[in-house]
Parts: sequence; C-alpha cells; structure tokens
Amino acid sequence: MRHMEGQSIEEISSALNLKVSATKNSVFRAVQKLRRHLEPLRAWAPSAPHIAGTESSQ
Amino acid sequence: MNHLSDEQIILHHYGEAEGEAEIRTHLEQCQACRAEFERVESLLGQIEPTEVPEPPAFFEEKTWLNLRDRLPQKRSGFRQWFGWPKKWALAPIAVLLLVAAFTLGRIWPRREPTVALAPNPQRVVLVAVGDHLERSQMLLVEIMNADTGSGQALDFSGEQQQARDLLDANHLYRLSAQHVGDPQVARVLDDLGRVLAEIANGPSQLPPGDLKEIRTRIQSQELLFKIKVIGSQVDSKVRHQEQAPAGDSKI
Repeated sequence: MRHMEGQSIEEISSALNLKVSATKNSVFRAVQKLRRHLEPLRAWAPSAPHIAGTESSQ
Repeated sequence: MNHLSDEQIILHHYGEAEGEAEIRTHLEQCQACRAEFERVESLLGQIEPTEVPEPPAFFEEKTWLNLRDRLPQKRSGFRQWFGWPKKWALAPIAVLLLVAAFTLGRIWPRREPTVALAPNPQRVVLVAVGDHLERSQMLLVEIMNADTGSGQALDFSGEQQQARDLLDANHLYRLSAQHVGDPQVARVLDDLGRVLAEIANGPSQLPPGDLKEIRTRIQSQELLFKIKVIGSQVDSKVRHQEQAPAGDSKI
C-alpha cells in the first residue's frame, strides 16, 4: 500500500486499524523481505532496467 | 551520530522517518549509509507501481449478463408458493376450507329434526304396554289350559315368578292409564292385577280347587277377551304413531 498505491503511513494505519509504529514496522519488514528476494536477482542481472515480474504490463 | 538503521533508511526513502533533517545530514557525511540508502532506493525504484487497469466499457453490464444466465432460476409467484416446503403448501387452503365450511354451516337453513329420528316416549310406553298385555295373555292362556285331569296339585312356580314380574309392571301401567285419563285400560289392568296377585301370592303347588277358582275369575271377567281387545287397540295406536308425528295418544 505504501509503495504501490503511495498511501502514507497514517492512511495505512487507519485503513488497517494499526498503530503508526506497527505500520512503520510492517513496511520495513516488507521491504526487507523484498530485498532478500530481489537482491540476488539484481546481482545476477545488474543491467536489467526493472525487476522481473514487477513491470507494468497491463 | 551512529550509522542509520535499515528501518530509518527505508522510511527515509518514503519520507516517513523521524528526524529527516538529521538523516539527510548524516547521509551527506557517511559514505556507508549513503551507499546503503542508494541500494535501497535503486531496488525500490525499479519496482514500478502496478497500475490498476480501467475496466472496459459496459464491463459491469456484460459481467451481469454472463452471470445472470448461469444463476439458478428463482421461483416466483404460484410456483414459489407451492415449491416451498410441500407439507405447508396446502395449509392455507385447508384453513380456508375450514372457515368456509364453518361459515356455511352457520348460514345454511337448518332442517327441523324429523319425527322418525326423535325418540317418542309415548310410543315407547305403548310398545311396552302391548308387550305387557301379550305376556299377561300368554300366562293366562297357560293357566286356562293347564292339565288338571290327574286331580293332583300342579307345580305353578314358573307361572308364579312370571306373575310377580308382571304384577309390578302392571301396577305402573295402571297408574299411567289413570293419569292420562283412559279408564277402560285402567279397569282392565286393575282386573288383570288382581288375578296376577292371586297367582303370585298363591302356593307354588296349586291345588285343583284353587286353579279352578282362578280360571273362574278369569272367565267371569272375560279378562282374556278384554286383554285381546286392548292389546289390539294398543297395536293400532303403535302403528298410528309410526306413521304420524308424535301426538297425545292415550294409552
């Protein structure tokens, strides 16, 4: 929601009925998870302009 | 200032970290943190937000048309009423029939009860009197025809018992005849009562002399003939009662 839809932390916490700190922690952990999965791909194909499967194809 | 944490770097990328100015200053001064921030920014920058496609024109209408043909048809009206639990489907009709039958029963003109169906106490009394006269006549005929050729006393215990039974009924019928004002019948029943009392109260082994005396009384009073006449009158009244509505016939 923060990255794809551009909603603020406040908006996300309100929508999900979470505290702001918990929302920030969720965003952090989500990005960490992305990094764990995507960093190896970037190392293997550093010249790729976009991460595979994340392009806007529709 | 210590190095920035991963959380601070990520939130700074989104502009949500606390102390943005300090973080920015630190990034300018710290090579390691700036490199980490650039990696995060590079990675997240390559993930383009997915745009939600706009539905084609009339998408909702087309979707509904496709769905509508596949949905099970909903029952309506008469079929729905009778399709719903069958055991209750006829309950309203049964209730309506009951109400209609009750209403018609209240409105419909009532027939007066027929005479044949209503019990007629007078007819019952007449029949009983006829039966009483018939039994009395049979008893008197037996006495009149008893064999007295041997000259010995006859056993009249059976006749005595009959005479006792007839005597009680005779008393009631005589009172009834007097009550309704029928003196002829009352007089005959009175004569009959005396003879029955004489038989009932006599010895069970009836000597020929006593029997002759009883016979004489029966003959002198023409009791058998009177009983026959009254019996036939009662029979005719009973037949008349059967054909005509209940009246005020006398016994």
